[in-house]
Amino acid sequence: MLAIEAKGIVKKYSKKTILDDFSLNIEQGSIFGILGPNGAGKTTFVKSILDLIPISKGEILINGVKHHLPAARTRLSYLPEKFSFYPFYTVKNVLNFYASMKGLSEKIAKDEIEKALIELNIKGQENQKVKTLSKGQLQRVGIGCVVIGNPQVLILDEPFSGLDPIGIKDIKTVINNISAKGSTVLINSHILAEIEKITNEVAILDNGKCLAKGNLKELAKGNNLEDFFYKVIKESGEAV
Amino acid sequence: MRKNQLLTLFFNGIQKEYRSKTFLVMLLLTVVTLIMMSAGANFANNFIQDKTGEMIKGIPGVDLMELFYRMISIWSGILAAFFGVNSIKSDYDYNVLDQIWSFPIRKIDYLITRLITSWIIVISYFIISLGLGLIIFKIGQQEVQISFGIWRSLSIDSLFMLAMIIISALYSLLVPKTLAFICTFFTSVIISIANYSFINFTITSETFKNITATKVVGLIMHYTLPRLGTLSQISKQMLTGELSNNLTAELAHFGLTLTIIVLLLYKIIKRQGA
Repeated sequence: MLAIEAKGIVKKYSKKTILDDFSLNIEQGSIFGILGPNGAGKTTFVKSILDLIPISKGEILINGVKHHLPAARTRLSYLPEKFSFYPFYTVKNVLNFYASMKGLSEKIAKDEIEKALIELNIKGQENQKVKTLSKGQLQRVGIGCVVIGNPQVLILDEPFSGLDPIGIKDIKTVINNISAKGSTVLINSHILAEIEKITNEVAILDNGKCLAKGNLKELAKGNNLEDFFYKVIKESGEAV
Repeated sequence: MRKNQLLTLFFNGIQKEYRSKTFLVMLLLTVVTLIMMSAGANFANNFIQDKTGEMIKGIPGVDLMELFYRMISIWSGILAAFFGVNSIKSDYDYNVLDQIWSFPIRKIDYLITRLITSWIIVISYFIISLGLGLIIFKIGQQEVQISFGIWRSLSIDSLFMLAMIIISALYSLLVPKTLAFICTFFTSVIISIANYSFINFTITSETFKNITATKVVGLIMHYTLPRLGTLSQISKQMLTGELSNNLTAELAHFGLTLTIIVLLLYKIIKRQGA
């Protein structure tokens, strides 16, 4: 079964086309990377999946359920590009808010929050207010929020942004752990080196069009992701 | 599950707003006003005697609680506009709307929860103020009580506040916050003027003879927007118990027009996205 199925997505802002007949299938249990230069339409696609912005045309299904229905997001977690929260909330308040919104019972929420705090190395900061956190700490809190409740689908928009190498390593471990449990992870990132290490399938977007998609090794044919990405984008630019 | 999520969102809304400086300033202003009113009444009492020469309590013809109630009903309108402006806009400002919408909740549920939260905060202010009024006037040796008329009037004023919250929330999505607050204030004044002008309006053969553009605009506002002026008038009538308006028809009109504005608000947030 497909975790995410996008068929012929068109997204227009006034006259500008951001996503142009974009289709993508993401298998359950995979770690899928969406790549593309700035302005390619990656974040628009991610936001479209979550029905955060309306699409102009097409259909998106999440685990077989139409994306605009609340049921489609029942076991889905989303990390935005710049995770932020009400500045007066403490880290624990934020995690509790997520647990409640995900419908976790008090006991399960307590255990899951404790686990996330340890796994993400933010234990001891639970009473710190969001406004006092560094960018890296905040990103760890964001990842903590999305992993609690054992989600089936995780959508991570630039998860490595603002993190030091240790933070990146910690988050990759968390992603691998959650994927090992059978969850589907969709990552939208600029950091090609990290995407190459963690994903098995990728799609490359530019100007709202899908330029390449499939198994990373089969697509790259022995090249590294950076070279392959550069080649695809360059060829697309020349073709235009 | 949906009930729990909406409750979480409701408490989140309360946490978001209760620390608001405006709310605290309003409460402080209320206490200061109460103390001044109580002191003023006490001072006046020193000069008022009954026929036998005995000093009497209170000022004849002035119900302190009603006077105070009328004052806070004006302030509550301001507070309602303030909270309405913040109710949804602050989620955009804190950049959390996309996270909230990524949970399995409907956007309309989110919208209604946010509006109701703001409404409950403003009504709470109203009730807290009345309670404070009762305590401070009693301390000041005034004979006061919260009459049934005040409760009846409060029920109508609470609808006025709900309308102010919804109108200001709508403006907050279209223009910057301060401007949204000012626009809400002017809209309420203009609607009220239209309502007072056309409250006894009936269509006759003479109606269309003296029609002007201003009159047309006024009529459109009177019939298509929530009648804030009429509500204020009903609220005053509730205090005295002399109701002259058709309450059922007015409430039906209010409910219908306000629902249309909420649907418009819903369309806008859906279109704007997170």
